[in-house]
Amino acid sequence: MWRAVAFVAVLVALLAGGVAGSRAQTAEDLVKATFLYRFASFVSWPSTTFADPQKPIRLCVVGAEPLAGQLQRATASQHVNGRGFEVVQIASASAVGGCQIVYVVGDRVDDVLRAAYGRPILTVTDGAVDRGNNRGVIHFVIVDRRVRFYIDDARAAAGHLDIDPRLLGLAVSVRRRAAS
Amino acid sequence: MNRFFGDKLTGGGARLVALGAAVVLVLIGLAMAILNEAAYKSQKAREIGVQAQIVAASVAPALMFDNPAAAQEYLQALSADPAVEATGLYDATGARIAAFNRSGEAPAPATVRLGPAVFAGQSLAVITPVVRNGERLGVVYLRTDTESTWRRFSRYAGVGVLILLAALVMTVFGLAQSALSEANASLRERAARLQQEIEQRERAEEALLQSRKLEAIGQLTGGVAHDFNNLLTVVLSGLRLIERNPDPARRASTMEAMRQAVERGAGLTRQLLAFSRRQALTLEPIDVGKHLQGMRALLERSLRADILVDIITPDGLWPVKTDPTQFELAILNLAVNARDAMPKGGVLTITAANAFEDKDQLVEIEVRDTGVGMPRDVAERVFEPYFTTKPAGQGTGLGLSQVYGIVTESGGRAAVESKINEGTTVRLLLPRSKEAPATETVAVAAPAQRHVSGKKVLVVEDDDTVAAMVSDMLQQMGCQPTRVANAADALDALAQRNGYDLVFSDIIMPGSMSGVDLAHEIHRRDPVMPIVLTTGFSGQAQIDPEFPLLRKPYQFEELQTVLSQALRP
Repeated sequence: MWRAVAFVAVLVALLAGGVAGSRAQTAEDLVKATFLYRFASFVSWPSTTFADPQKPIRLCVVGAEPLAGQLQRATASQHVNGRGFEVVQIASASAVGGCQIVYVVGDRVDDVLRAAYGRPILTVTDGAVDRGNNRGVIHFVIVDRRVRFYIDDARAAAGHLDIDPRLLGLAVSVRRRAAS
Repeated sequence: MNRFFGDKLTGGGARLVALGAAVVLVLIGLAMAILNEAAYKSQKAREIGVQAQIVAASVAPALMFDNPAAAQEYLQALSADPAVEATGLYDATGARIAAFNRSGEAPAPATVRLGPAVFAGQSLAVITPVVRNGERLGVVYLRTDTESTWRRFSRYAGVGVLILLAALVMTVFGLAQSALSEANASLRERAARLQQEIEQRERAEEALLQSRKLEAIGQLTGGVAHDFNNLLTVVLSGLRLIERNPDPARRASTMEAMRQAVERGAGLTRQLLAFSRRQALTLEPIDVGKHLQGMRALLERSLRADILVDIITPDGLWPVKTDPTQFELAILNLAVNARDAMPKGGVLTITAANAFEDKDQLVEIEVRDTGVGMPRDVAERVFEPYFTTKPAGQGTGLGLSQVYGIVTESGGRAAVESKINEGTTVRLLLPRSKEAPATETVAVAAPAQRHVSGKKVLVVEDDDTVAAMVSDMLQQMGCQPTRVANAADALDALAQRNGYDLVFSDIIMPGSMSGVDLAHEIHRRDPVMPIVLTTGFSGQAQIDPEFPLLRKPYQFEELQTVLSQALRP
């Protein structure tokens, strides 16, 4: 609980502006971490994804160790539809198979996206960190000093993921999937 | 009057019931309104609560992903609901991140605290937490106008309808009541008017009856006057003859002629009295033949000279029980009708005969004329009172109804047969009487003289001439008469000397006591004292059936008979 309070406090500080860069970065990471686990409640995976109803949702982080730590703490008490979260740091793209959500930044973005494409994995890339053109299903950006995101629903469709229209409605823009 | 008050009370009761019903209806309406109000509020609170939860669910993603603009859009979308006054979204820290308020309405408060729904006037404010996956994200504030004009109207329409109904009930009752009392009033008025009309009619009938009597007397006047002149002539000339003629035989025959003339005069006055109907109806056995023959002279004088009167009465006719004067009047009425039916003259035939009808023995009296006759529809109605074919002023329409009346009273019936231009026949059928006519008993009254002889009789008579004559007659019977002039003297006489056997008193006398009063007073003192009353008038009120009555003028034998009957122990 206190973590949430801290998060909120930081968030408020961020929105108010006038904070040091590193602390701003930390606050931004906290927001992103919060968004990451919250995405889980607006995405449906194919029924085969979770064999065990108790099995937690695996949140994988590639190339962002501080955020992984944040995420670890943020998700500690969270759950979606009775499932908890499992935060895993992975090193290679080949390891994305067991993940439901992958947050990837840095030079392994392309590999991970390639490896995850067509699989039921919600890939999240970060325009605030990377300048590359390759984007995951969700792509973070900073708009008006707020964390926002694009959604590539076509890519989600390729991985048999369904994204709640309410989440789509919050995206800066959406790349529509082909009409089924 | 009781009925009147009764109606009033009933009306008041009905009005009270109506008022009570109206009050009850209004109370029910108010109770319904209050219950309605409470039910409506709790229902409304639930409704707005649900609406707020829907809002909360809708704005949850915007709150989760830190998107105040999207949240603002959501809240703005609520403006589509005209009831929404203001709404606000607060994040987990309690800061308001989005808000919407309709122009003119207060905005959502800057800070809110969770709590039950709050009513403020017509507004209802609900605060609902925004929760997602067990995570409390913030709160939603939603304030709506609970009552549109239409809703308020429909909520109070029930009460309004009930009050309207109550008013209607009152109005209807009031109208019905006033209509009823109006109807009652008009009914009473009509009843009073009817009563008045009945009384007027009765008075008119009475007047008609009286005029009919006068008419009958008028019919008789000519003949009667002639008769009286004749008998007066007989008496006058008789008196002169007696004065001048010393021959006892001539004097006796003259006196006999005079007696007959006076008897005839007495008979005529009796008939006049009868026609003026001052004599009570007394049914007695009579010999129809004798009465009809006795009317011959009267009829011949009453009818015109061009009408031949034929009266046929065989011997051995059975007696019938009827009122003799009324019977004679009936015959006279029929005769007058017959005369009027024969304007050019004709024959009036009156016949009497014994008749049988099944086992009944009847005496049939037939009055037949050879006049103009009358159509069947008129013949059927001739016995109805006031039915007349005579022009106004010439007939009362009561003549034949008198005939019908006396025949019916006598236990008989009447029938009419008529043919146009051939004449009319009226038949009176009277049942045979078992009793013999009274005249026969008078005839055998002679032996009574012995019975009367020697009795002391107190004669109460104010008229000296009459008193002298009565005393003379009593002395001839062998009685010892004592005459007094009035009731008071009579009582004194009785008190002084207790030896009187009988009191013979006139009814009409000077003084406060009449003969009837005197008779009662004597009987109060001496219940067994025989009393005989006499009068020249025959008003019913003056007669008391308790005492034998002798009508003036009377003959020697009649006086003797009445006295002997009164003295019989």
